[in-house]
Amino acid sequence: MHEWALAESVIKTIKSGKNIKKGSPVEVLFGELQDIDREIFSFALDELLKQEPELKKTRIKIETEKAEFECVSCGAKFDLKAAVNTPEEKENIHFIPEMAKAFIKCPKCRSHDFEITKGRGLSLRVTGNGEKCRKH
Amino acid sequence: MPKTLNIDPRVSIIEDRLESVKRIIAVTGFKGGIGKSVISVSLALALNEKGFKTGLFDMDFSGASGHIILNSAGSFPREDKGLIPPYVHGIKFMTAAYFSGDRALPLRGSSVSNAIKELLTVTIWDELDFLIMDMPPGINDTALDVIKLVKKAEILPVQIPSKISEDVLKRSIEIYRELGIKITGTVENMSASSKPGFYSQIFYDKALEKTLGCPEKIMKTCFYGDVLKLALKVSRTSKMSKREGEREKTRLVKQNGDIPGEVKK
Ligand SMILES: Nc1ncnc2c1ncn2[C@@H]1O[C@H](COP(=O)(O)OP(=O)(O)O)[C@@H](O)[C@H]1O
Ligand SMILES: [Mg+2]
Ligand SMILES: [Zn+2]
Repeated sequence: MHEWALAESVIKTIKSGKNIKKGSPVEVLFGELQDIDREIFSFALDELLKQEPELKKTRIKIETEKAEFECVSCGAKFDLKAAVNTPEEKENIHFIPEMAKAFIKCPKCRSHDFEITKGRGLSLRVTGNGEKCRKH
Repeated sequence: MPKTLNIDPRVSIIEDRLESVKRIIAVTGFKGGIGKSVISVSLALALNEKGFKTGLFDMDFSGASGHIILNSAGSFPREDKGLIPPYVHGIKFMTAAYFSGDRALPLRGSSVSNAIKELLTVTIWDELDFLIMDMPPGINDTALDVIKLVKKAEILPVQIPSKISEDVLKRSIEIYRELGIKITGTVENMSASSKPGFYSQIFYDKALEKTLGCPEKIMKTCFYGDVLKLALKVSRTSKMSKREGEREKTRLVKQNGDIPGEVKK
């Protein structure tokens, strides 16, 4: 249930109003690598929203993003399918996605030195109110 | 085209997670192998022995060693609306080693930052008098992240008797002061003789090495005796921190440009 802690960070961010206009739709992006449990996360989000009447109108959409890796040693690009992991390793990556560096190797050159270029973990995406964050 | 903005939600919650922690002490030093980890672990044991609720966070993700010194094998965080660090010898202990097992963890700077943010976001420390952070050497990504994200962290720099160590430390302390970070006091480790000018001295103890991995034995060494004195000193300074909120203090310091430890109301 550590999804709850992540959901709290989402609510706190929306509540702060920083870079997010009140009432504008928010997209929560799940990186494939972190493998967040959507059901638990949504449940936590709903429960937390109930405690925040001012966020009642906020629409939150959850999207997932495929993980992509790029090897720093040989330049090969690969995805999660290329990385076979035990359930225990997957669980460790679920807690800290960077643990992928311990358990996943470049399929081409076996290096552990790769970048997670996409689909790492949790992030938020807001559209249409970029003007609020620009400093002039 | 409407602008799309990506936001990292984690940073917003980190201060909340540490809200019930009274003092956070980052044990730093500007080289490896000078005793940061053995001091961090022993300081946590000593504060706990003196009755303070104490946590220990191994921030040296690539060179994690607290789990070896404490012998935390078999412990793992519990999941309950976050990760609850297990008690190891009376201390709430968090380390990336729970998750990397016996694997090496080759992390570049941005990954170090990401992993630190992740653990700061999901770890539920709850109420603590002290949280000791065992830092990797130098002012690098970890140190800069801690300064940025953990506003009430204070620094306990460790050095050894060596011209180089002293010199690097002096310059680094300047940086911390400029940033308005509270410096608890400089510790000389592996001392050979008593010298004035240090907040605390810990003498070289050749019996220490064999006790690592067994906290009961560590706690019987002369080394631990010195750390206990350090712990008492650190806990006495806390009277000042109780009087005024840590955050307030940092703000005052930023305004006045004073050394944080010396701000008085
Ligand atoms: N005061 C001391 N007396 C004897 N050995 C020490 C002392 N302080 C540290 N050591 C030894 O030095 C080594 C490095 O210590 P460690 O805490 O891992 O350093 P760091 O975390 O700064 O890299 C360890 O083997 C430790 O036992
Ligand atoms: Mg160390
Ligand atoms: Zn490769």
